[in-house]
Amino acid sequence: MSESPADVSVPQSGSPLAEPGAASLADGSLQRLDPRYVPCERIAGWVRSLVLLVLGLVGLLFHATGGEARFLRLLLLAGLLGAVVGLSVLATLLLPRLAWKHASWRLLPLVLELRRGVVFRRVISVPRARVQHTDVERGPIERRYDLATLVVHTAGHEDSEIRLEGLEHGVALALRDHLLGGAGDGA
Amino acid sequence: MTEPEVRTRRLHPATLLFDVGRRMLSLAFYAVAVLWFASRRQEGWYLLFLVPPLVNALVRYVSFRYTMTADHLVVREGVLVKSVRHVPYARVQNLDTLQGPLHRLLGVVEVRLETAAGKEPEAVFQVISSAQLEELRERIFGARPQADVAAERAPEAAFFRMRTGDVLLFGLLSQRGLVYLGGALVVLREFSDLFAEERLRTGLETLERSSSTVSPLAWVVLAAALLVLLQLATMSWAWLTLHGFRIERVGEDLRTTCGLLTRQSASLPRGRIQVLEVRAGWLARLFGRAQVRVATAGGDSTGSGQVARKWLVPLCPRAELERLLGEVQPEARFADLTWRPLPVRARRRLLVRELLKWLPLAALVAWRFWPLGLVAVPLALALAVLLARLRHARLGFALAPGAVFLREGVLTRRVLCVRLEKVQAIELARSPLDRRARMARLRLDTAGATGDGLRFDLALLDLGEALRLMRAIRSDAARAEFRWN
Repeated sequence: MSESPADVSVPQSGSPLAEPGAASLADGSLQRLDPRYVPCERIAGWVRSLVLLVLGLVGLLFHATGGEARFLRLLLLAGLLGAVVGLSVLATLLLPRLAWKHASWRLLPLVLELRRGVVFRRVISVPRARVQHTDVERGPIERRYDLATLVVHTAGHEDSEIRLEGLEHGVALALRDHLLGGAGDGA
Repeated sequence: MTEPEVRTRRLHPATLLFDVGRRMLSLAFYAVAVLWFASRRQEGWYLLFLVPPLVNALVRYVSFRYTMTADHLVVREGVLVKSVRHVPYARVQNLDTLQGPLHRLLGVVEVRLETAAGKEPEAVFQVISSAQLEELRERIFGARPQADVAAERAPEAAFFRMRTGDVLLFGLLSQRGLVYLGGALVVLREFSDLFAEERLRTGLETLERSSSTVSPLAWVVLAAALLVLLQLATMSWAWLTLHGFRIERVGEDLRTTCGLLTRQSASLPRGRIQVLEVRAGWLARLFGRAQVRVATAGGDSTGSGQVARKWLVPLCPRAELERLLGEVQPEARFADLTWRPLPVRARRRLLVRELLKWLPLAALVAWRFWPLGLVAVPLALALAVLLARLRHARLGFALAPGAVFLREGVLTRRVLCVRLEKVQAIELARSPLDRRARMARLRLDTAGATGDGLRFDLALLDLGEALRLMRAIRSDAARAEFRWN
């Protein structure tokens, strides 16, 4: 019981951001996500907002041209669209930074531990002996920032697929090799 | 392949009878519709619609073939889309059997072969003869290591037999009759609209008119009689399906057998139990009884409609529980657990939950029956306070070597047991409310069906305690190798 209850939240400052590499991977220290996770998520957020806006505008256009469109209702719908897009933009501006702040992972000798969540904070532990297989996924935006998502599969039911986003590609590969390699060999 | 005897077998010819019979039954509406049309239009050619099921059954019978090689079973079926399925004997988990009265008359049995994979049985032998079943058993379980074979040959005496009284009580408790009654009423309504027979309608109308003249006492008597009739129906249903319910241990497998006319047997490897639940509703507790449910990996644990699968032990006296659980899961002892309560401050949040449940109801009553209904508000308050206290007193967890336990429930009490070697992931979650009150919620993920509340999920834990529990569980779970069975 060397850890105090306070360690449930991620250290806010001066947390070690270890160099990628098998030696430092399993040292049990908390690792933050790659800082590029923030711009990567922002771009995804902007794309989402843009898609929402375009789709909404097209819908409005159809509504306006299609017969008896009343001005008041049109105004209401436009306001609704504005609110939705505004929320999306707000989320794009605020959330990635907060998500990054509250997300971390660490590799204990027998357990992979993930922390994440802005409103609902979760600590998910996967015993390494329970890892069935892993995927490393990279979307187009992630590739541009040299990031990757590690997907850990267990034989479980609801948490059978656990995603760790925002890893540098090299770290994701090293982590994968580490998980698949000598899983559960003490230390 | 030193063993030369590769035997190929077909299904028993009686398959045709059962296959057509079952199809007709499941297509009963279809068959009735066809016959009705044929008789109405006076045109016989409608009967041709009955031909496809017959042909289908014939084709299935002719194309189905299974081969037993030295170490695996090959099942071939299909004409257009042919499938050849190889199942190694070592992977076979269950040979479930089903034998109805007609089956017994003809000396045949329906067999389902299951492996740990998927929800569907790996192969269904619609019917084969009892001798074929014996041969299949011999081949599949005969290939297992010697110790297992010895156990297979000599099943130990049943360690649990359900008494007839308990079977009837189970029918009484399961309230299945009410469901059937609801269904029957719906059907009746639909049909009375559909067929709109004048006679039926006038009959209903006279019933409605006369209802105002019949004394209320008669209605009460009628309702009571109906209820008694329903309970009798469910009790006889329970008697039919659960008669002679017993569990034997065959090596590492639990074999369940039950049924009066149609005998079902199912086996469950002990190690495949992921989560085990002991549950007792208030009626069951009144009679000093309890039920046992399990979630298993692979196979279908709840959906197949087999009672023996849903309930490992449908009902047993509480006194027998400990011995029974010792047989089912010797690794985790239910006795002498030290239960740890939730923190006292959890009570306030439980109270809020109860208030959210009962106050709206009370408000509705007060509004509807103003001003007398106002009495409901203090009543709801008192009820909420009482329930929150009782819930808090009951909620708790216990950590034993190799297993973690949860208990909860006021009216229906349950104790959940998860063996740590079955834990796949541990999740500690904190909502904003949790963070303010320094509390946390702990959930454990396991393989297998976790629906129906068969999941360890404990909220309102003290944060420090939750973290200690999380670490204890995950370090123990990580040291144990996960095996499917």
